[in-house]
Amino acid sequence: MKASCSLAIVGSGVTGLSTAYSLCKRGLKDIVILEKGHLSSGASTRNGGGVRAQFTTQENIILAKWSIRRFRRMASELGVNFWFRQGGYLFLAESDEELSTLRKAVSIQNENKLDSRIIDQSEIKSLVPEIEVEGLVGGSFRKGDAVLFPFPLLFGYASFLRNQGVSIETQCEAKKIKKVSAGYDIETTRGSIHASKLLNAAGGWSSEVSQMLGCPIPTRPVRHQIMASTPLKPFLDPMVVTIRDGFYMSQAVRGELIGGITEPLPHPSDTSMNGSLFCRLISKRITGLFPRLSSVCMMRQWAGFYDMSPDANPILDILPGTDNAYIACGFSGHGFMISPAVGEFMACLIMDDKPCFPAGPYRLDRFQKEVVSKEALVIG
Amino acid sequence: MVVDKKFACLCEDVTLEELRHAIREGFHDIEEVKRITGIGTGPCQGKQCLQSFRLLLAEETGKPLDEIGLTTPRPPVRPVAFGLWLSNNDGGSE
Repeated sequence: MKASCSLAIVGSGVTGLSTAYSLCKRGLKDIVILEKGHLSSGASTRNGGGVRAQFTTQENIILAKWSIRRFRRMASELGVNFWFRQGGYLFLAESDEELSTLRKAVSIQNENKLDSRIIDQSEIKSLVPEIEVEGLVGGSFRKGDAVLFPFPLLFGYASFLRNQGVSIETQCEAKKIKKVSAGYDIETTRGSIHASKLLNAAGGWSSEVSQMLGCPIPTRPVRHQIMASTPLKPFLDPMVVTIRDGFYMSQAVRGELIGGITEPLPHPSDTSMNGSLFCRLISKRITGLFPRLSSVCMMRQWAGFYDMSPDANPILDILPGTDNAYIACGFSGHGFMISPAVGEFMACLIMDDKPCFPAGPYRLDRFQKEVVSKEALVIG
Repeated sequence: MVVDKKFACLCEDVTLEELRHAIREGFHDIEEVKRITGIGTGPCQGKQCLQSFRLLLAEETGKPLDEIGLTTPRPPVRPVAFGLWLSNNDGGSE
């Protein structure tokens, strides 16, 4: 490992990789990425690949809209195919109250120039003919929302960065961080490194890393489970989401159904634990909404962390009291889908350029104020 | 163009050449190669391919087999129909 670098990034997930990518484009390449596991071993390779702009806060909508535009040309920029498919996101309401939640969301989205709309039962049926519409009172839909396959994008970033001279040190855990006159001395499981600047992009572990910097942040990792079915002939165009229980399911280009559901009990933070309760809950939901899938098999089930912030909006900032430590965390289950915009935004902060988005809403100090604009559509 | 059709993973149609390509790109961890190629993530969940995958990884990286590790086994042990998950109860506590 190098003895020193201009910037050390803790975490090789999509946030760190995307930030390093934007920095390389701006000419900063003396970067070392420290990863305690294998490449992108956290939530970045454990998520369902959903990409949507149908949020309820301006903060998330701005980042998501920009990111979707970027994803559309990312494949040719990086020379990888990550199977970006804009089949839309369909949110389902099963009561008048849920429909009114969706109406409020759509009205915020429309104010932010997003072309989502409320649709009725018959339009739901025409979008997803296999769905059982009895019990559904309506939904919201936006065609531009999408799904992608996370791995090729991550590994495409990593190959690009390595070619640019960025070091990605895997199996290299940051254990202690010491502030020194011109930056930070980071003690890792594979030796020490000096960095002039530091970015905490450690996802579910970002509050631990912040603790090492002596600056606690109000995020916490919450374990979520997910499953894949055996591959099927394509039949499901949009990602389907329910408001009632945070169920989501999409069909990947490989044919597998990928889905999750909100579980009623908190989990021990152990990713090796499996959950037969999860399997039963999601199976009940799938067979209820899609009776014909009853004989289709669940093939694989796993888990990952959402790094939850108090308002479910990200924290993108310079750590208070420093001018060279940065933080990009608290993505609350939406890190992958907004990562292109986050990478660009963090690159602006780190290079001391004018930020490409208004910085205020993402600051850490917002939690000290009274009014917090909370994201309502956290699913899974 | 010679197309290599020696399959390492019969569920996900992963060839030896695809595995070698990923490893030569610099992805040496068994979990990284699994994610890039999809090896071992199909219906058999690696039961047919894991050993040959490990041997290839050892050969390509020059590491002893003991250091290669295993991919993490995931439930269910074999594919189970969604309808069957509901067979012995009402689908969980609600």
